Amino acid sequence: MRRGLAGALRATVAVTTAAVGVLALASCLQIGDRGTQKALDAASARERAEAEQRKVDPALVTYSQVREIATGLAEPRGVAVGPDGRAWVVGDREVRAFGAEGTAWIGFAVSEEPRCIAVDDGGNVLIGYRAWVRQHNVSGAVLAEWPVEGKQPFVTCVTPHGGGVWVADAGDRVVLRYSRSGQLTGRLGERDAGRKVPGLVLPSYHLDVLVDEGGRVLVNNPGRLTVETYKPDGAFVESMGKASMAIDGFCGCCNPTDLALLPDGRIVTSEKGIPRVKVLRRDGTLDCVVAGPDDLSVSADSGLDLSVDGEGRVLVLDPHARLVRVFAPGAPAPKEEATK
Amino acid sequence: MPDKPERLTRREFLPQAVRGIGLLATGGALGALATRRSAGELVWQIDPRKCVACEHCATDCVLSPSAVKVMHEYRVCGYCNRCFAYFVDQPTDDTTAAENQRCPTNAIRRSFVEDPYHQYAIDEPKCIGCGICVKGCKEFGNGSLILQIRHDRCVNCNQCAIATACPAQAVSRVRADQPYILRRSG
Repeated sequence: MRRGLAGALRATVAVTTAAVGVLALASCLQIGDRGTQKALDAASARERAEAEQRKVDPALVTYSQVREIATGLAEPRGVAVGPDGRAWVVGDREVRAFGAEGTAWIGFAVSEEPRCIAVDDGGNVLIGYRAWVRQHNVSGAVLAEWPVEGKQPFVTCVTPHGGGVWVADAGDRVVLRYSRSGQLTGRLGERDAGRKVPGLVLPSYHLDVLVDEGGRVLVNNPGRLTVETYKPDGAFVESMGKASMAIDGFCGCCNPTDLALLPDGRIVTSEKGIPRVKVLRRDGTLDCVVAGPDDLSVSADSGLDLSVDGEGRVLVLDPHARLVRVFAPGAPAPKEEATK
Repeated sequence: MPDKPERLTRREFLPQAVRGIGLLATGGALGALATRRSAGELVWQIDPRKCVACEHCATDCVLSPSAVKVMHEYRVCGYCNRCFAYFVDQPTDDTTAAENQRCPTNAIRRSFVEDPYHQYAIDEPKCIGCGICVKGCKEFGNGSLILQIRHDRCVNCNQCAIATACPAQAVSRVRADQPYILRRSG
């Protein structure tokens, strides 16, 4: 009798314990799911609000796409305009030039992957490779070449000016000036508290350099979300631009990625993250928008190389579409509502 | 009256203890070998190059929280001051207040390195694998944050629920001796 009672008691305790355990486990799982879902709902709502901020006011867009050039390259990396108005593109292991209507004009192969291109007033083609700069004639013959000095050079821009060439070395976070024979004649952009140079901050390899009519050097400083101006001797002049997701600022962690100059001196900038191309006045304030996210097909992590022709048209290299998009001043026609 | 229990002398105890430890070590090693996943075995993993950070990993795994966690590839990271994996698009101010953080569970720790660089570390127990930070880093930064199925948590289902739900077909079986896919490897 006593044994029977003890057995029943043990069985009851075992069943109760098991039931409580199962209930506790189920409750934990439910709470976990509820917590996860609540966190995701809040984040999704925030993302929807943020998506709204990425829209561009149509009134600010004063350019429209007038042409696109199919590069025919798998990985186009750089675009430039020659003195005759032809568009030059580098990518893969090729250099290609296109005529006015976008038809292929000339091209040549190169021995390693080019990163950037420029064409000088004499029609010579300057190409930046990872750790080299080479000057070619239009047929591809190498006229001059030199290695870029640095610990880990990664050339992202070459800009001929006067008798020299400015070279942006993103790997070493510096802009170098070389003579046409490859002699190093100057450098700028390195942090120097004594000269009040803030220093280039490059979370990713996007460093561009150009020279304005007055000989001042403009450099993007993506990690600080600014465009900086220097004297040719490396003296820091000023920085412009502000961090903001709004259209009048530079978005994300590291923008702008590329620069170009319009004939009247205004600065064209491109951004990644929210892909957009804008025109800034020389005081850094927004003048107008060339292209917004809806006009470009780039994925967010790409930079958009820029160039400007003599008539103020902006050439934008859209690497994911493998196109050069040509934008000319003139507001785009209003888009028609999609028929439902 | 029962005999007194035999007491071990130190000389007798030491060899027996050594034998016992030896047996335990051998058993442990054999056990580890038996449970270790061999090269021929397959496990589930996310390919970060295909991943679109859609949030299904957080909700579709049979485990709760999910077996998917964020991993940080520091070699790819830009150590950004304004990290968009960490901060929302429009922070209300320059602080790390909760409303300025993108992660819904506060699972990213930010620490100062030197001006203007900061390091971002994942607090794994808090991470639910939603990938909201992954999306932010991919869109604005270098994409150094990636989602990976953690094999210390994954129960390796025959048919992975995340793989079924994934809109980008980013989840597939990989060799168990190389169970993680990093961006820099490809």
